[in-house]
Amino acid sequence: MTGISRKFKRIIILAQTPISKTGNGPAVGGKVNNLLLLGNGSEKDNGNGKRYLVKGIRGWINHAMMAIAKEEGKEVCHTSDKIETQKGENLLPEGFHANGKCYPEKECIKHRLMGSIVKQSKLKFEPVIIVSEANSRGKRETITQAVHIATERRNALKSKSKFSIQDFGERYFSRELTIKIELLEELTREELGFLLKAILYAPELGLGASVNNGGGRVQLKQITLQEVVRSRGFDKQGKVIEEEKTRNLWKEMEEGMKAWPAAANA
Amino acid sequence: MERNGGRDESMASSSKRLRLIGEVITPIVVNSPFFYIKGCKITVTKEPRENERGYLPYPKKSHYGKLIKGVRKAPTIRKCFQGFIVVDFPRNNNQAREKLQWFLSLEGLGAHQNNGMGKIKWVEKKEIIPRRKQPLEKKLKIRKGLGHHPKPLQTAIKALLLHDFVHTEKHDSKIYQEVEITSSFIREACKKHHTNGEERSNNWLIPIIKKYDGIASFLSRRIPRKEERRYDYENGEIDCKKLAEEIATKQHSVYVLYNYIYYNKTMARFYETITFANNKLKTHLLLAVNLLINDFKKGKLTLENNRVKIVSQPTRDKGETEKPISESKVLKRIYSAKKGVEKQTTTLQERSVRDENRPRNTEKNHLR
Repeated sequence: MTGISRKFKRIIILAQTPISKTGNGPAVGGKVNNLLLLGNGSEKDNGNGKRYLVKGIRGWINHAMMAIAKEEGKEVCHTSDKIETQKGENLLPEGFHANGKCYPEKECIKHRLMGSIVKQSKLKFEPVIIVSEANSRGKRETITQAVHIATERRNALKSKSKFSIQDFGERYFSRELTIKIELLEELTREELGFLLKAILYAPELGLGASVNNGGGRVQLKQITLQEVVRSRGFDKQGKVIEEEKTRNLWKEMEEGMKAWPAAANA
Repeated sequence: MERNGGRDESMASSSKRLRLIGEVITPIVVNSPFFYIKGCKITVTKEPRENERGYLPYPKKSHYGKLIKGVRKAPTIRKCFQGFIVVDFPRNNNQAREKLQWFLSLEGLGAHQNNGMGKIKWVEKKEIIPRRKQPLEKKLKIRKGLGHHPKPLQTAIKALLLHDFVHTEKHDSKIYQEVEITSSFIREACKKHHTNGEERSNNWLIPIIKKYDGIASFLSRRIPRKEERRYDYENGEIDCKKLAEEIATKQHSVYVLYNYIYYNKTMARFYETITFANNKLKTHLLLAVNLLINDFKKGKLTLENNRVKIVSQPTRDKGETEKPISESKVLKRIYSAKKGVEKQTTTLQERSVRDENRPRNTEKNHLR
């Protein structure tokens, strides 16, 4: 079999959430707090029902990086490259610079990992696609993950009357989910440690919306660094066969975890 | 391929091309579902095979981006497409196979790939024979001058050009002033083209004006825009009485009237309706006339005792209209020599074909 193969490293995070509202599918004419719909399963004979995309994981890690860098007293990029509003009010908090400003001189550690409009990122977040557990009928797939998906109705009435002030539904999901981050380039020990610590810090921030109301709590179960060799080729009928060989790199992780704060102090 | 099967088989050995098919897992963020990379055509489609007319069907379109409350426009929102992906290579040689290897190493396409969008799963490789695409229908062009036409058609054209310049039940004259139409026959038809129950009257112009006025307004009305007046008032006032008199003097000839509406600049300022102020009255009138002439050339209208008549057409149904025609043509070719046994065999053949529900022209292949 002739084909292609690629060797790369990736981080796999196994997490559990009781309730998360990552929504924000900006469907034109749709509701704001809907999950981004990727398509109806019945069209493609998967039989798994509707498929949704969990949005906002990259931004979640991005904010966690900002938080731990601030704790260590290091100046890193802010998520936005906007400095002030049209009226002239300052938007940039203390301890940060605008996104992409540090490049190419004095490039900060966050810009090296996440990139900006001037430079490509080293991290590629794989899409987390979820299907409803009730519709999946016990089928297990490599691409989709079966979780519990439902709607929370948020209804509020005026006191001593039946006149409703607010009445809308929010989609949420709950259960285990795996997040995969592909490393497009080789990371230094310091960068790897920074990334891992950001992932460990991320549950403090919460994922998605209504964090102060009990949503978005995430419990991290397992974080592994893998070396993957992925190969792809054809069989006699022309169908594509894909194979993956993985190897865990726990020693490299341990070294990275030691490297990050020490380098910051030095 | 079924239609000209014999020809394709001879070409097959020389013109086979490589095709790589994949499934789109998360939507591809691009501006258009057709684009080129390394000289290979990439198409995002609904299904990975061509439809009857030889085209790949258009994919499902959705939107991706950041949402700002109240603002749902580019660049905050971008287009993205879902379905299948088809890569067509120009040839089937070593160079194409090298390109295929490169495409196989791709895991995504389009923008926002680091955020999980545009992920692809390759499914299979194929060798295909390119199908001939049926040409798209020609767009209607508004002609610069009228050609030569028979007299009854000329009166119909004249009635269509004048039908919006008189007061009717539904609306007043669209240039505010009523044009005095000399022919009483045309005047009656124009006056009554919005009244119901007048289709069976002696005036044969009414159904024609009703039909082509309706089609022309339906074709051009797309985006609503409201105005208070029938023309752009801020660019200066128009003397409508003078305009109506001018039109009245031109009505002796169809050609003069058509050219007047086509070239006059003050005429071009009027809107067709107040609710759809994007459409001009000029294009509405010219479009109605051109639709009438095109239909006459196609044979949808006939001339009977100095009248133009609409030919009643049966409703379009693929099973009823198209099948018998093709079968009879085939059967004539087979049984033209034997006159005596013709009737029996034809009935037998027809039944067998209909029962098995075969594709339309399967018999043609062994004829050639």
